[in-house]
Amino acid sequence: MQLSSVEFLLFVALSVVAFRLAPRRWRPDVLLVASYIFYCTWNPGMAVALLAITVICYYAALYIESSRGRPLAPRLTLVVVAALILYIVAFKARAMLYPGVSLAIPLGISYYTFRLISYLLDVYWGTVPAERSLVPFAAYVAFFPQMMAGPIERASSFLPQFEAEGNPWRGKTFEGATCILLGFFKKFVVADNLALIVDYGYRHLDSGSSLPNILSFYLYPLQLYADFSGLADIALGIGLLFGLKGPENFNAPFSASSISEYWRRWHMTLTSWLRDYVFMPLRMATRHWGTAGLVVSVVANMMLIALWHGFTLGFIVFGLVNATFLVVDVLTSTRRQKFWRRHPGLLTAGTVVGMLATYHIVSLSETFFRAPSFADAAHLLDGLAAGFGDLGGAFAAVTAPPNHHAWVALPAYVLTEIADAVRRKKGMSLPAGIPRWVQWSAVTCVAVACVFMSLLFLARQTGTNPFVYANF
Amino acid sequence: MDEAIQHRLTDIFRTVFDESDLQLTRDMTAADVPAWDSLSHITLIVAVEREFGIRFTTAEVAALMNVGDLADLVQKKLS
Repeated sequence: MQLSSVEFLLFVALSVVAFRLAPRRWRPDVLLVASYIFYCTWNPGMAVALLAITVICYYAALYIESSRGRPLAPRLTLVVVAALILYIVAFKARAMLYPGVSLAIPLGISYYTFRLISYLLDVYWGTVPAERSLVPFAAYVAFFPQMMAGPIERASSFLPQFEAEGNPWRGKTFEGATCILLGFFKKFVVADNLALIVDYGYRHLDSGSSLPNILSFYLYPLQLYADFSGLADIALGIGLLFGLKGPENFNAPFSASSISEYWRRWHMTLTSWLRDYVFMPLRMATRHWGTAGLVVSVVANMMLIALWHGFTLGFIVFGLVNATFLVVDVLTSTRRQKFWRRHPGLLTAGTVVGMLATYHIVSLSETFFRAPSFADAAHLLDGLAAGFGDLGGAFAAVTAPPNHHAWVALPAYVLTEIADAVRRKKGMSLPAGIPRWVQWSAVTCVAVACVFMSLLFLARQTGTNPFVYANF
Repeated sequence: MDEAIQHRLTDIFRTVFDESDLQLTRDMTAADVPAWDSLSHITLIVAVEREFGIRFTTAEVAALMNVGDLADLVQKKLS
């Protein structure tokens, strides 16, 4: 079932109605059934694997909790977590070893294994209690909106929402629908149009002009962001339709003035996951090594983020570029902070320069992320300095059909940034106390937009680009 | 919070986060101190270990939710 299909929208609508009509104690069951139906439409065999892993982790957590303080607890935690890591590594490595062959990688494997690992470690550390009932736990692991591209929600934030009193549908349905609309807008208006320009650049690496290379270099981070954050908004929106609030995955990443700040604002549920379960334990283990311990932890953490995407040379270089700048960043952090404290007048200029530098580092690293091969990435970077030659001709070529309407992506991108800024500040729900006619107008607009979106999906059944992060 | 422990912790916090007028409260968290991030957290932990001559485990550090938890843990280790 494709995300941008009428079938999927109908499936979501039916699941939400069933969930809302069911008595509260049955709601986890409804959600579990819906999630497994969704998973089975993709691959029934892998759904069985998901169920088996869920049941194993459920019982393992109960054993870990009851044997806390005895040697069994750390051993069992280690064995199950290692098995989960091996499971994900095996599938990702298989994809690397047989690149041409279409091999089924379980949908959402990176997301649900990370959810399970964090749950087991939290239970082992005693920061969350083990879940007593299997159904809500299995519904958490298989929650279908978060299966495609996360976010990697923690059990401690998801599970209590089942128990919470009341679940008003009106406000959350409006908020959810708005989030979904924003997500599809980011995907179809911003990301897919930017993809036309970026792809054009990658097809014309040797055009004799730097223009296509420059456009691909600078626009790909925006494309990836619109694509990935659009998918995150859709997941968040569908969750809200069920009355379940998921974590935000982005916080204006391009406003970051350093690469470490960028990584605190980008794919936040993955980076905070790694901070808690990889970086902090590693830093604790290396805390007496001085600077070497810090460097080892930063590099290992960044390389894990890179390899999480897959075991290819492109992702490795993507990780190495980021790791290099992250190490420079953390090693100079104290000195920079002291400098800014002594020269507060320069802070604004420094922030702007920092933002520009960070964007360039991101563009550079994501060139290796996007390019089909290392040679293509090198080629693109080489071409940045090729000179402009016939600039008018190059511009005419890049704006010729089918790219002629692609430029709408740039003002549309600005609109999404404004929408996100409003959402961060005030949320997506209707403010209380506004006149009734304004409320109804807003609800009508969102409802009409949803109908319009469904009609668009019907019209463009074929040829939609897959979401980039649906592959991980 | 034990007063002697609080006094020594305050000194450590002020040095690590470079804030000379920082006042500790039991419910203070990383969100309340701008310089308190995952990097400086370990610097803080190492400084506390050195000051009191104790060792923390990863699980103990992971379970800390606020300054009060840290003070209690230090007290538990010392007793």
